[in-house]
Amino acid sequence: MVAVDPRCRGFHAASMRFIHTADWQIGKPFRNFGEKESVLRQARLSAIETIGRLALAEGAGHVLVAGDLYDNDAPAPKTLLEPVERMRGFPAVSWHVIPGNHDYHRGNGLWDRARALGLPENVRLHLTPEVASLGDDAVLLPAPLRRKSEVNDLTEWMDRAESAAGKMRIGLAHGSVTGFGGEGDTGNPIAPDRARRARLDYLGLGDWHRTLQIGPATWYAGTPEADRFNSQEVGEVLLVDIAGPGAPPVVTRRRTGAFRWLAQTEELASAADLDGLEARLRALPDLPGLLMRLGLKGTLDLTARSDLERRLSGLEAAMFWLEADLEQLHARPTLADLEKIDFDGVLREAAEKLKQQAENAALGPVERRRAGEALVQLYLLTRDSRGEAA
Amino acid sequence: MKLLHVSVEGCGRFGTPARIEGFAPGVNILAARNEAGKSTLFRAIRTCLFERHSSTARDIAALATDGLLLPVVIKVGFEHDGRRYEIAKSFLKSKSASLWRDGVEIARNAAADEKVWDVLGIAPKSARGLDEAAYGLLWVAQGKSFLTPEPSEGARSALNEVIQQEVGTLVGGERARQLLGTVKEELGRFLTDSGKPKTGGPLHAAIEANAGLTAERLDVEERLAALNARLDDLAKLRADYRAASDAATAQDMKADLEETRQKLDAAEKAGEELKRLAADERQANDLVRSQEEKCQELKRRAEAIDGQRASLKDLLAGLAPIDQDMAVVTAALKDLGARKAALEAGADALDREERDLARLANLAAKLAQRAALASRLEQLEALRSRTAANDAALKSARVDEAALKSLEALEQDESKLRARLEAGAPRISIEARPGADVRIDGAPVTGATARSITETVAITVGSDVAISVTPPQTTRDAAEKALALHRDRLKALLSSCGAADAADLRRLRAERAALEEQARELRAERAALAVKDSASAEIERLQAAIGDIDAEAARSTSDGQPMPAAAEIESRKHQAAARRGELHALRSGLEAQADARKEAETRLIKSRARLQGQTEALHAQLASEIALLPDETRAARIAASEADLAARRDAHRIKVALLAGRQAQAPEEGEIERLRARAARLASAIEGQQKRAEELRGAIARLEGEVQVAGGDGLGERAASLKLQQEMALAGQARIAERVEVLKLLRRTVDDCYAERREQLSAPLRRHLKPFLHDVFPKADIELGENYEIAALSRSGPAAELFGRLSLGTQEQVAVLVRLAMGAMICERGAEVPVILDDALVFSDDARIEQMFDAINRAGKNQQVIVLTCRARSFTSLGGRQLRIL
Repeated sequence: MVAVDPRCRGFHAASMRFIHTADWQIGKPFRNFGEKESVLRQARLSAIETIGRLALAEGAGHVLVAGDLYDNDAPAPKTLLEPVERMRGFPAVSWHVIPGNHDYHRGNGLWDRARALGLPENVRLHLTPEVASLGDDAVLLPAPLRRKSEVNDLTEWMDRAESAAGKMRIGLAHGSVTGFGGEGDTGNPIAPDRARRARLDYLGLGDWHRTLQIGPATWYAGTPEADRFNSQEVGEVLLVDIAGPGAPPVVTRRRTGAFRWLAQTEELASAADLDGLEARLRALPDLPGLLMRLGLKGTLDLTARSDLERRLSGLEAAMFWLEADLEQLHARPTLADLEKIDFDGVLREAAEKLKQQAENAALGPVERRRAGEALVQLYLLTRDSRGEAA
Repeated sequence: MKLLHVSVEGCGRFGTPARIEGFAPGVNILAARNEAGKSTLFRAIRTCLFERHSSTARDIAALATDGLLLPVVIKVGFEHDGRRYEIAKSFLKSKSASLWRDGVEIARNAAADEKVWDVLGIAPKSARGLDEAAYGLLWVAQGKSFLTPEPSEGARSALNEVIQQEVGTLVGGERARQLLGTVKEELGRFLTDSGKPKTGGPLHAAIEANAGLTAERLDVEERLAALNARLDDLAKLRADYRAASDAATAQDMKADLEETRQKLDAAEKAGEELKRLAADERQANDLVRSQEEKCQELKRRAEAIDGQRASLKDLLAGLAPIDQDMAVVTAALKDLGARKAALEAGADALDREERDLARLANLAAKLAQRAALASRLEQLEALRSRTAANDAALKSARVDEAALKSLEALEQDESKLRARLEAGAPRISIEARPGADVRIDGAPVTGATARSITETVAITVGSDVAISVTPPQTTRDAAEKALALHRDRLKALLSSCGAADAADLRRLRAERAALEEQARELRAERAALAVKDSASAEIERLQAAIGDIDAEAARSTSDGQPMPAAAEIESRKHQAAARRGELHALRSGLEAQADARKEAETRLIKSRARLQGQTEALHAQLASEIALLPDETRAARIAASEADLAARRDAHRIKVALLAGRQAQAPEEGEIERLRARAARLASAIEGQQKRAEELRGAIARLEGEVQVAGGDGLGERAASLKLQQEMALAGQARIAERVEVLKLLRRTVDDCYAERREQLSAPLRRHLKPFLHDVFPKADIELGENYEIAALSRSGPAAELFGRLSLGTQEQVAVLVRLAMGAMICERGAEVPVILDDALVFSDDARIEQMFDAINRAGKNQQVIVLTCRARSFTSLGGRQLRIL
């Protein structure tokens, strides 16, 4: 292990400053984002460098990674090496890593492969529940996962673990704190009062993709780069300061994520709502770094619906990713819509029929929606034949 | 547009320039023989107007004149919108195109190709194809006239445009049709005509991609599961290896083995010493036993010599009484032999007497049968005599049943001859009135009678009239000849039978029948007498038997003694039998006594022989024993043997004591085996442990290699990626499938609405069709289907006739009429297109073709109609401008 340079800013004798992070999930696929997948994958790797730079900037000699460094326990060789190489790039920082449920440790598994490939000295794997040195003033009590899902609380051993007097005790674990409504995978329980029971000065947790304080000295760090909708919006890490053994930790949230993942639903009732919607969306900060899942509800006439699609096209180009869900947005043609299709004759008759079907409560939702979509298509095709601009 | 002239060169049969000029505005007819080139000209007009001059299409190449290397040159003149145009093209070679308007060239080459289309109001549907629109519809090629018109896209547009103009835009048919076209085109990207995903289309590609992803994901997941299983196996193997390679356990087992082996070595050495001492003890014991046996042998031999001497003495004393008993038995046997010989002489005399008595009894029985034999002999002799008489009578009576049948046949033949003669003879009928004296051959006739005249008949009537009726000489001669032949046969028959006439023959036949009956009775009598052979042989046998009996009786009484009565013979036989019983009893008694004596004699002989043998054997045995142990050394030898025995017994006792001492110190029984088994077990366990560790090491190395390879593939990451990819692909497929469903719904809905409006849309065409149709089919109506398809023809009956069910002639006529109506409809709206019919109406009869000419001339009033035909005579009455190929 490489000791932190005492000349670094923020370093104080007998005090402790480190970064708590988790759930990097390197190698996570983003195929549903098409050609943008590589950007999202790259962003997760870039987050490591952001953390490294933060550690140097803040004088944090140690980065504690509370599990799930990898998304999978059988990654491709390149995926295996990429984060290691990023960490190697910060030799002044010690990276302490424990396996999580996504990358649990077993013989000849992921971590043995990583070791066989050659880990830099500043990367320390903690694959067994043993007290490890964390500089001169602290010890680390890791609770590595050896299975995807453990029934028992692997942090229990910390209660009995002995450490030299005067040294801070830092726990590091991956799992679900019981009684807090777990959002991660089931299993791997962790007692909520483990920090107190084990006389820990800080317990750094991983698994949940949101930054959350469980107790005075127990925190979930969340992921440094968000990776899904309806979860952590933006990636963060925790900068932890402990003045000395028994002192309460001072935890600061620091953004590391490049992208913001936002999911929201909007209600539309008329063409007039479209301006507001577009304005609200365009007002969101950092559109090029925004991924949005936009659920639209309500009803629109065919003209407005056509206009909506035009506006969505613009927004899609403005944002990094826009995923519009129009499933709950129904087409309700007005008389003007129908007259645009035709004043009378075959097509007008077809439009009327489709309109009836779309509004027929006796039909199933699929049939109604399909009829509505067919009506929209009819509108668009006749509009095209009239030569009107979209 | 109106055609004005056309000229060709190097085209089909027109190797040299040929032309048609003088097309009139109305009906034109070009009537020429087959192969005159009419269809070539028709194709040339189409090619010139609608093909690019640079085209090398197969149809154009086919137009070129065979054997000539000339370009295909076509020039067409036409009038359109009051202007005169001329388009000239050279195909295949020296390719060129020029378009003139009112004598001025307005376009050349490709521009000319397209300009003429522009003038005619048609447009290329693609770079390679041209929709001839109304021209394609109204220019009917050879052999196509009987087909229902199938308007091209352009033709439908032209028709719909006219209809739109007529029924207004409210129907929206053309817009609907265009939209349907777009929807169908869009659907065609996804589906085949049969509704299946189109190969190469987005839906098919999505399905294929999904299937590929599924297969790939399953493969990766399977490999990942295998990797996980190997990792689990590896963990187990490592645990096993740790157990197998535990050094403390191995050391404990080795120490245990060493100690066991030392114990085993000591135990095995003690065992060997014990074995040696035991062998020594057994050897000393054997020496004792051997000396004991020698000692006992000497004593037993001395006792045996003494015993044998006493036995010899007893045997010699037992032989004397046996010899005395033997003498008594021999005398008794001799007496019994004499008494038996006397009894056997008496028995011989009794045998002779019994044989005589038997002979006499037999003779008496034969004498009792003699009378019966004599009676049978007499019957047989009488039978033989009567049989001989019957045979002689039968031999002389020759008339048998066949002769009688021949006679009857001859008589029948005569009757037939006479009947036939009468039938062929003249017949006279006479009616003698009462009082009249009429006679035939002198016999009076009363009443009416009729008779055939087979021979001369004399008829008299009273005394004054005598009529002689004679049959024709030929008839009489034939009758006489036949009867004479018949009489010869009868005579020969009677002669062969010795009969004077037929009655005599029948009598002789009756006599022979009586003799045959008598013969049958004699045969029955002979059968009753049971004569096996001939009667004479039986008579001779009986006579011999009677002679034998008489001779034997004579011999029996030759000594002068009368023949005893049967009762006396029987009594004497009983007496002899009683005496024989007595002799038999006496003899049996003597034989029993003799047997008893012989048995006693045998026993005595055996006893004596046995005693004698024993005596001799004892003598021999005694001699051999004494030779081995002479009386003079007996005591000394026995004493020496007993002293040696005592010494050997002392030596054995020492060995036994030594062995017992060592045995007390030796390990327990089975200890060596236990130690040996334990040592083997421990050695095996150590070896097995080492082997197991080696195996586990190998297995771990192998699995590590496999895991390294599999793990290096990034299977987990790949599986996660594929799962997401497949979810995406499935969602994409669902989106495409949903779009397809939406398009299908849209197409179905518009189709349905279009169909509901079809009647309204087809009304203009029906209106135009009506006069043409009624020219040929008065009061008839046409039902039109999708795309102006002719569905049915309604004539006088209530039910419409399906188009396909009509005769070919009617189908062709209706199809041509519909085309004329379409032409008229288009023309009425100002877009005049000539109607060209190449070799049409080939199936029309004379009456119907005249009506079709009326319809064609009706069309010719408003537009140009050009009829090409090879049937000049049939089309004479069509009228119009007669064209010629110049």
